[in-house]
Amino acid sequence: MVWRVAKGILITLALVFFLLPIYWIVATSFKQWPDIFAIPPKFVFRGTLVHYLTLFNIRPEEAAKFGQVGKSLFPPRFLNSMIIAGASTVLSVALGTFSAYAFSRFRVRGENDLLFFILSTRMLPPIVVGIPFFVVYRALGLIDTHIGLILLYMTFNLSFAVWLMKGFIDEIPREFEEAAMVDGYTRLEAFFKVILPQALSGIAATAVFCLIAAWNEFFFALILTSEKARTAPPSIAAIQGTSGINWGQIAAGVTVFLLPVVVFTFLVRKYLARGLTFGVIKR
Amino acid sequence: MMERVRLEGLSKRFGAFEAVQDVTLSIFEGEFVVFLGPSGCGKTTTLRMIAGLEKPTRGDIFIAGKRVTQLPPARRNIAFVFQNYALYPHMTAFENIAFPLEAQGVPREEVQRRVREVAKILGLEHLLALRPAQLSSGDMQKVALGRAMVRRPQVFLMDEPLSGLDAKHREEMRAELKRLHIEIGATTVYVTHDQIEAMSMADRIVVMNEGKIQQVGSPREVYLHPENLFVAHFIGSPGMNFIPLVFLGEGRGFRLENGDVIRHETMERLAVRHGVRECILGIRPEFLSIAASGEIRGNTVSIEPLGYKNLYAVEIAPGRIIRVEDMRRERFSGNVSLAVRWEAACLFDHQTGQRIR
Repeated sequence: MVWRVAKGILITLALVFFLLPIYWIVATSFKQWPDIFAIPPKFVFRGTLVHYLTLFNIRPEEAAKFGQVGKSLFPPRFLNSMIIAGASTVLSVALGTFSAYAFSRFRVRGENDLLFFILSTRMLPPIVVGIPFFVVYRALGLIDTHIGLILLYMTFNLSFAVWLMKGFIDEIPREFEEAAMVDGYTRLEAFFKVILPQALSGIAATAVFCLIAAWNEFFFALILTSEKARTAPPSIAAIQGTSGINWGQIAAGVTVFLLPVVVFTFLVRKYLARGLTFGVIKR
Repeated sequence: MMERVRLEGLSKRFGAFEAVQDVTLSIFEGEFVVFLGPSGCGKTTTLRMIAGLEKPTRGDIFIAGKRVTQLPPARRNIAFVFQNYALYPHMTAFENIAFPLEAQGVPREEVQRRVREVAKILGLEHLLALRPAQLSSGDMQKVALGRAMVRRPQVFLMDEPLSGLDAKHREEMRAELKRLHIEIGATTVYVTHDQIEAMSMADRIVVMNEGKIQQVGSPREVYLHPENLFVAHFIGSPGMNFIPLVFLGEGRGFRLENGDVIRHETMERLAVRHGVRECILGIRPEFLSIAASGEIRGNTVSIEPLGYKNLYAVEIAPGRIIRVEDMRRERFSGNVSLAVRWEAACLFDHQTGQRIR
């Protein structure tokens, strides 16, 4: 009984600790200008949608009052984020799943060295390779292009996807595809009909991680894009008017920016719960 | 009899390890052939090569007269029953059984008809809508069998299909498999390390050890007439007794380890004909009995009453203990003498381990 109460209190504290920043951002996005800065902070306030309306250029004349020059660039950049994070996630998960299958099922010469090499691409801090990437991308004409960032994020996530998916596929007994191959299917058909359905939870877990990493990426988006392919994170950070940082609009931008990941995670949560505990339970 | 499967000089090497060495064998239509041997003897590798799941290093495989050595499993028209059933977890029992038919593009109505037909034979009709996780291991095994049967393959390959079942279900499924085999007359190659399964189901047993075929024969042949010491030892529980003998010459008999001399004309003639000196007398416990004046003297070490018989351990020379079965009710102890039923005794060459006949 005491334990249960203690557990309840601990969980509540943890929830408050983790959710307070999110509450703060969401609340700020609905606060009127003076309330944003009120000390002590106001927990009860008259809400407004003005930050959202200006963010999406529905009331540009309101934005001008905060010193904003021209139209908000958030909508096209949000779209860029969706395209780039989405495409890079699809590519890393697809390539990762195929390579993981190969590593798991075939005798690959130097398998352990290769896997270590793949993992080692994550050992460098991104900032170290920032300038080389910039130079290479400029030479290749990939600066400020969607494909440039998609390739980059795919590369960074691929090592992760390969390792994660290898763990999941190793857990699927190879008798399944052998049975399918005896039953009259080719290895590729067996992969799609038998292995893939069972790897779904692993794929969902991997996709969530890849999506979050690509969606939140700030550094490369900042240095490798300027206009056409700029994603939401650097542009949210840059929201400011002539009279200073526009906190209300930043909060609105962050809130909108949080939504896709929340929605995606919510959609795949059925697979995710299974995926994250995969391999823990002996079947 | 038509030959259904033929293995010619089949070998498989994994790195430096010779898993299967030069296996040559014909399996005939409708035959139930069991590969029997200890783990690592190459029996499963041989089966997987027949299925096309392993590529042979050397040799050829023919199924129904056609060379299939290079064909993928899908094109060999075989069915494989796995040790762990390998039922697809995301499909119902019905979908599992129908899976091979879909690969062949069989029309929907016929799939329905054939799956139900198979389910009826196996008594699975009421379970078709369930997923593997909802089935008992016995029923999972039946679904796996159904999936194998539904496509009417040239040959059924089974890899220790009963090892996942408890003793009671195993006995039931053994009878069930035997019944199915008689009912559909399917050519079957069955791998097991359990000699009771092999004995009770096989038309012919292929005993394997260290990658090589040791003997091919009916259950009775491998039991009563083992070709070598390995087969003699491996088949039967308890195994055959081995009694070392030194041949003294025709008319002079064999000397036992304790110095006694035993005489047997037929055995002596065999020893002369093969020119052996050191040999081993192989005799199963049930062909020895405790007698008033037997050929072999010994001292009883223990008695295991098994209800209808007593199993004795008898020391016939220091450290040499042999097993004797006796059906009589009274228990013997101390010094005994053992009578040999010579017609059931085997003589082996000590050097080569091969039977002398």
